[in-house]
Amino acid sequence: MKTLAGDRQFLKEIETHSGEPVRRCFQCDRCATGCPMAPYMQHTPNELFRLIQLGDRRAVLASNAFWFCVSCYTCSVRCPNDIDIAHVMDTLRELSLREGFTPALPQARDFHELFLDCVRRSGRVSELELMARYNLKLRKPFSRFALGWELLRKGRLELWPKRTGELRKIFKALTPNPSPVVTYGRGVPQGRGEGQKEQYKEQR
Amino acid sequence: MMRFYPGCTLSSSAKPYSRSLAWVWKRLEIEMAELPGWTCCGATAAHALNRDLAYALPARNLAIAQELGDDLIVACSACYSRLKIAQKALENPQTRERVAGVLGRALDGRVQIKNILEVLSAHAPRIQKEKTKALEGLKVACYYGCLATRIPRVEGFDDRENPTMMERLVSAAGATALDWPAKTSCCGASFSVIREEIALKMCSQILEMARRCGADVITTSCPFCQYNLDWAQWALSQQDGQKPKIPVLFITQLVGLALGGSEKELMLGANLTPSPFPKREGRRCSPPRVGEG
Repeated sequence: MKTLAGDRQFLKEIETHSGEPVRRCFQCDRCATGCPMAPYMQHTPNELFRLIQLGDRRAVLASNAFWFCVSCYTCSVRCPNDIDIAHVMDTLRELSLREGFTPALPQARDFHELFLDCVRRSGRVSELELMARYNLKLRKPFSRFALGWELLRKGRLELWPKRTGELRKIFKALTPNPSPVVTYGRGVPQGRGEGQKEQYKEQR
Repeated sequence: MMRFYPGCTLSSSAKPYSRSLAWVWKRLEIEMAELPGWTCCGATAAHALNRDLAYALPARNLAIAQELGDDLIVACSACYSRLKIAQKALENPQTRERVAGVLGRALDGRVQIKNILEVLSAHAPRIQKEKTKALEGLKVACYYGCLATRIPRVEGFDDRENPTMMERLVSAAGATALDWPAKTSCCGASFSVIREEIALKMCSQILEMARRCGADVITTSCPFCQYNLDWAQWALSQQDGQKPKIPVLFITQLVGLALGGSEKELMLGANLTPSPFPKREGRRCSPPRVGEG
């Protein structure tokens, strides 16, 4: 069915992949009121949800909102309709990347990818390695040098972390290629416990 | 037995946390061993980009604990949140089957995941009994941050938006816990790397609130919160030349001080904001006396 802005399939798609009842949003604005990142977002969470309901795929996926989401879960625990909003933001981020939209915060994508690659290779994250690689990626090798030195001097950077290759197998199974990239739509229905899911179906 | 899941930060930027924690464990004679072969929980990065990983990475650690038949004690709020969220998601049989298949391990979801605050609180009567006068008169703002208490659809160990467990603990340790409104505000998490100016602003608001409420010290149980609040004051001092004002201590450092730990044992010197505790003889620490500062 066509709505004013787009098609209804988009709402269903987001609901299926996030496992969250996005259609329940009735614009009470509690998410936006509590959101510490709202001032930086083009659309507050409730605005984004309205766009999803209207089926405006382009506006939603090109928005910077889910890139600025800091996953503090304030919205998720305050939502009177019990929508895990932060989880929907994760879903939107994955979908936006998969569909080739330019990330509003490319450095956030880079940071998360490098983080996961450290985990893949070493099993644990070495902050020193992560920051060094992040600096190289941004082509600012000496960025935060003073801070790094201060932390090192105080014994708050580990020089020789323990490493394990145990996770390579898991990454191989769950990511399409060696670099950790998005897997939107490959997995199983997510998020909720069994009971809740059934309950949600009945309500619909 | 209880198994301790440290998480990645505890061996580097939160080294003072693991050091002081080990000291407090020893002092309170709590038996705890590190979870053998633990790996990263995936943190924000996994759930931001790849939700399969966001469940599989914590699930691996849960599976290890399950095989040992032990409870899992988690110090880092982010790890705690990811482990709890993954456990909840694994209640879905399809998700569980898929993740168990990838891991090659069975998952039954019976592992008890406990936050370090729960463990410390269980020992609050003992802390109260054995405390020194080190923290007397010290006004402490307890800072929980986001992830320790706000976990959607999971019953936490305390109220989501107005937790009080740390306040009771701090009071038991002999300090004065402040009532202040920013205790579950967000410090900006990874934005201190991605977009410094945003995290700096968020941290400044929290610090300003603590200052206005008259806090001598902020204490927290989250490595990221400690790092961000510590770093923000350091960064601001680099900008305007003013000295950092409010020391940010890990909860175990504060409890350790109450139990008679020394500055060195609790690695207080490693905090970026200098400790307020002037050295006394024998390297014992004490707070500034009333009227002195």
